[in-house]
Amino acid sequence: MALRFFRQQPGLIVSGVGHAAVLVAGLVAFSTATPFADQQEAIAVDVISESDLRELTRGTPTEKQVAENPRPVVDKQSEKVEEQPKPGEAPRDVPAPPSRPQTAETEQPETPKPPPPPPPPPPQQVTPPKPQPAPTAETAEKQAEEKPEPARTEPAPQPPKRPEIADKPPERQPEPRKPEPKPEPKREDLAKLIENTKPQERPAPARSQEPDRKFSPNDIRKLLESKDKPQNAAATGQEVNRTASLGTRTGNAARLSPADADILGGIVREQLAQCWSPPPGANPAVKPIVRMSLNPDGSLRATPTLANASGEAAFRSVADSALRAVRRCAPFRIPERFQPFYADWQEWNVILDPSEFLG
Amino acid sequence: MDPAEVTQGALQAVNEVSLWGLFWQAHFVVKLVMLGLLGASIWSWAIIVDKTLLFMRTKRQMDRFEEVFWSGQSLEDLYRSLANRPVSGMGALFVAAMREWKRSFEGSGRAVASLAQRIDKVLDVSIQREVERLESKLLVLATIGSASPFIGLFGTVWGIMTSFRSIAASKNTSLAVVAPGIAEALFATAIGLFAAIPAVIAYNRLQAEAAKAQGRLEGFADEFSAILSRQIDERAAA
Repeated sequence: MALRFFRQQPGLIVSGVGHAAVLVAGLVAFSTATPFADQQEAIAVDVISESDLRELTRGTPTEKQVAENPRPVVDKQSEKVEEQPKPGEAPRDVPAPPSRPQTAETEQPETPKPPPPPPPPPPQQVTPPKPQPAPTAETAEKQAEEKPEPARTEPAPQPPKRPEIADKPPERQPEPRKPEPKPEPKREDLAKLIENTKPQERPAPARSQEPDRKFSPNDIRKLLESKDKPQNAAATGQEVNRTASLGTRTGNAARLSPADADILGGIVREQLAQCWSPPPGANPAVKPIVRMSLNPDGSLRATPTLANASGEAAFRSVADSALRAVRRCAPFRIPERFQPFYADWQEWNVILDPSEFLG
Repeated sequence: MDPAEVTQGALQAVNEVSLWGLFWQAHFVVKLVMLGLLGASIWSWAIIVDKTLLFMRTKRQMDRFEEVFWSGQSLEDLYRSLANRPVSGMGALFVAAMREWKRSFEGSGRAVASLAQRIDKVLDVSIQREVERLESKLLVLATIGSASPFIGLFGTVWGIMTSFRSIAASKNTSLAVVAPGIAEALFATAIGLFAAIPAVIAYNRLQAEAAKAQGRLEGFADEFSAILSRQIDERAAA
């Protein structure tokens, strides 16, 4: 019966078997999905010029090796450090510099601490004016006692050595110090700290005793001018660093603005015009480009060379006369205001267009 | 929702991309659509196989019958050999026409006046019956071919709708979370196309075959009726 049915209408069975086969094949073939291959990220490459590189590697060209962490040479430590915002960083608030000698005193013990806390303690501004009118030894002592306050956080408990000083100020002390959470238990530490900071404290009373002395900037300038200028102006920085690194001294050299470059080119060309008259009958299309290596004073550091070359006889003659003229004209007078940009104009190309120099 | 949980879920979903996983995770409606389309595909292939075999058989029978018919064998002998067994195609036409012929002559009254018209009618009816037999179920193929893409599309739209509702509910649009739902939804359309494409192709091919067979039957009927009408005229003259 089944066989006869198969012979008559085989379609259903054939189709069913076929679909079952397809389903099984599909189950096998689609059992796992192949995940996408990870995309390799492209690396951006910047092409920089030689001058860009010069500005990038700050260092000294005479050095033989490259330091691992190159830092600019600093000969002495500056007392004031200007906090300049790093590029890409938002400028942040810096506490205003002290304006009175008293506040300067109170802040003095703070300077050796490496990170100055950004929020200045407000009560300190309130205290100093009080001792000012009566600059006696007593107030000096009080000031001295106030001075080490920022260092109070030192937890080292020490036996009190001079209790009488520690006992004297309390009636003054607590009232401006309200926000301080722990003024009382540290009194002994305070006294100990006074002992320790004695040598520093000595100049303090002298200054506070003469607060009315006039501040004259002229005096300071006279004092400064009376001395010879050092050969090498010591570079100042946050910390002293005497090891230079291979690179160029003009690491962060300022660059000429395009307008300034035009002006400087005009100045050089003007001076060249007095020295050069192109040979008569020179082809106006011939424009030799002379490359000069200049010293900071405008003299030639090396023989000028031609930046472009041509086999033409006419070019040769014009170029030779141009080179002679450049040599004759040296030293060039470079205005003082271009001195900071020396790195930019030490190699200077001049296009000597005969048509510009005729007449 | 915890990110680790999401990743875990996504990984599980990624693991379940086999055909069975796609089917099992689908919505109830999408499952129905898939099963229906699978059934339609099985049915359409059954019809395709049956019809292809039928047409092959019919063609072979017609070839053999024409060979016998034009071999000069006596029509009476041929009729006697064919009358007692089920025949199809040209044989059926021949038997029907010969039966009408015999009835007209063997009866008490010789009804030969409009015998030619009657034979023509009988042949027409036989052709109709044969063609109907050949073309039966072809319409099913046409229907499957045209409707199953839409049914699959319906399943897909439903599945994507469910997916988007899940996205809205979980507030997570990570592609790893969205992808499995859309994959299973698209699976419905895939099955629809899987059923529709062979059905459409087979319908066009079988339709052409049926038309060819019908043309061949009509040609034979015309020739046979011409032979019979000549016989009638000769007998009437005699």
